[in-house]
Amino acid sequence: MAIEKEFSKNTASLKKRSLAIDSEDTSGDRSGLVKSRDREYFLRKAFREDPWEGCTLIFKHYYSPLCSHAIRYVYSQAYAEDIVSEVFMEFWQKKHFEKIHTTYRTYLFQAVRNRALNFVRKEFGRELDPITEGELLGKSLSPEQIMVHEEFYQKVQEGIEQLPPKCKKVFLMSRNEGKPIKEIAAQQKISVRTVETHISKALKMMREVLVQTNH
Amino acid sequence: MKHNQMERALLIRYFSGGVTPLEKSRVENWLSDDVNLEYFYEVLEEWERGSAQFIPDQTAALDRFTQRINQHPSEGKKKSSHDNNNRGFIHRWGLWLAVASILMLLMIGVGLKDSLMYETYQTGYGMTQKVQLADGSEVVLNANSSLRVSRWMNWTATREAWVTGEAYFSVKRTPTPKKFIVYTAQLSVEVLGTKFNIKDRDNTARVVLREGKVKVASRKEQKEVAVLAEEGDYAEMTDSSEVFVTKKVDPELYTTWKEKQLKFVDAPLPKVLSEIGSYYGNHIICRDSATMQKQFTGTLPNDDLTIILKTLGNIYRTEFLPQKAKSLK
Repeated sequence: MAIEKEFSKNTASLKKRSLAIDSEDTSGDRSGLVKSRDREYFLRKAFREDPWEGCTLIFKHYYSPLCSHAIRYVYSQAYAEDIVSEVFMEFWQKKHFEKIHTTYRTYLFQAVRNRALNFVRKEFGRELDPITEGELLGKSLSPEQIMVHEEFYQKVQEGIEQLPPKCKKVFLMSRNEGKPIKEIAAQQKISVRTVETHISKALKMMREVLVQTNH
Repeated sequence: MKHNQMERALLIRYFSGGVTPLEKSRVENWLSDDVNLEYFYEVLEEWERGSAQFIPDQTAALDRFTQRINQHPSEGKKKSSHDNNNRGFIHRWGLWLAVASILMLLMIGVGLKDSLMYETYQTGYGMTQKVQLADGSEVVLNANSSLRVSRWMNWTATREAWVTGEAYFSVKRTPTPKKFIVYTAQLSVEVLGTKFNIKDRDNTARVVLREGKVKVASRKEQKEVAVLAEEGDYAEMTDSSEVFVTKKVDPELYTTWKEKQLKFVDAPLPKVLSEIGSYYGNHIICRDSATMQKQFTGTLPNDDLTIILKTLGNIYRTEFLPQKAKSLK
């Protein structure tokens, strides 16, 4: 019977707070964090009234920070954005928003981190059995599982720092600025071929990091 | 909340990779308390906003997202208030239809023909078949297997299916939780939304879980005997002795047949041959008894019996011969 109880468990509604909706960024002081909790409450209310409205709001609110986080795992803006969009896709299509028992933020960040890591693992041919988003709804990750993420993207960052200056510059132009190879070549006054070599060197580094951090 | 400024600063340093091993294990300890998770991601969001790696074009992204969702209207789509009214209308109608059909079923009851109530799929030897059910769930039927499902599963209180042979279920969760029950001769498996393999051959039923959670019950004794909750959980029940076994297995080994492959790890050769035989409706014999003592590890492409037997023959330097069997269930 426990199984039914678990399945039918309603998404716990958050404690009621005064509704101070603030559309500005919350970076900074503690009052910002309190405001962001109110925002979660407000979003939850929006989802109850009109799921699509809620989904749009949540997309607008979290898309940027999620992309910024996703790119730490991968090597192009496009992939980072794809990962985040896929998470939102599944969130909407499988109606995960009805089932989550954490805040939307926690769910979304966990899902993006999880998907991003799975993506690189798959990309570099080291696929472990991945955790699905459906599973993320039902159980909380262990500290080790959480920390694998920090470990991975920090190692990537370290690896980037250790690349030769030119190589690092080219790679970041390609990844973080989303510039096409041709444009980078023109700007740096080097050949397309050299740009490609720099990038593939950076990718090799990422692969090595992956091999080190995957146990 | 009980978190202090110090923790926040520590977490931010932790995200940017500037912590000592001691501080790191402090974070790890702190994280083992679920209560702290929310704060962890709260600070992560804050950190990402403060040190954004790049600024995506959010408006364009939202447009793409909306477009993609509108391309899959069946999954739920953007709706105007007009659609909203419409939906309420249909919703009410749906309820009446459900009531009417239940009444109808009650009235006609047992007199209704089986074929009207149920749909049956049957596979022959050497073939698999993918079946899409009315509720969106998917079933892959292995060779020489059958599946019977209610035609009206969207209207009934529970979704039900009957299996002989072997089938892989990907059960879709319904918006309001509605049980899906799979029956074999021996047992029933109850789920809400999950993926699992079920096999009922040689008077033994075996269930292997891929995803989600299922409840297994004995049909004879009408009671729950196991809950499979992790990938690779396995349950087995025989017809005669009602012996029930649960253990942990590699689910790959039980589900690669879907991809037309047979995967074995340290499997005794007779078992390998009987597995292949049950797929093609043959007994496979090997006269070399020393070979039959051996074990096999590997993946065989499962689309041509002659090729499989040739491959095995090459490996063991002997001959494997098919013999047509009457019935292998």
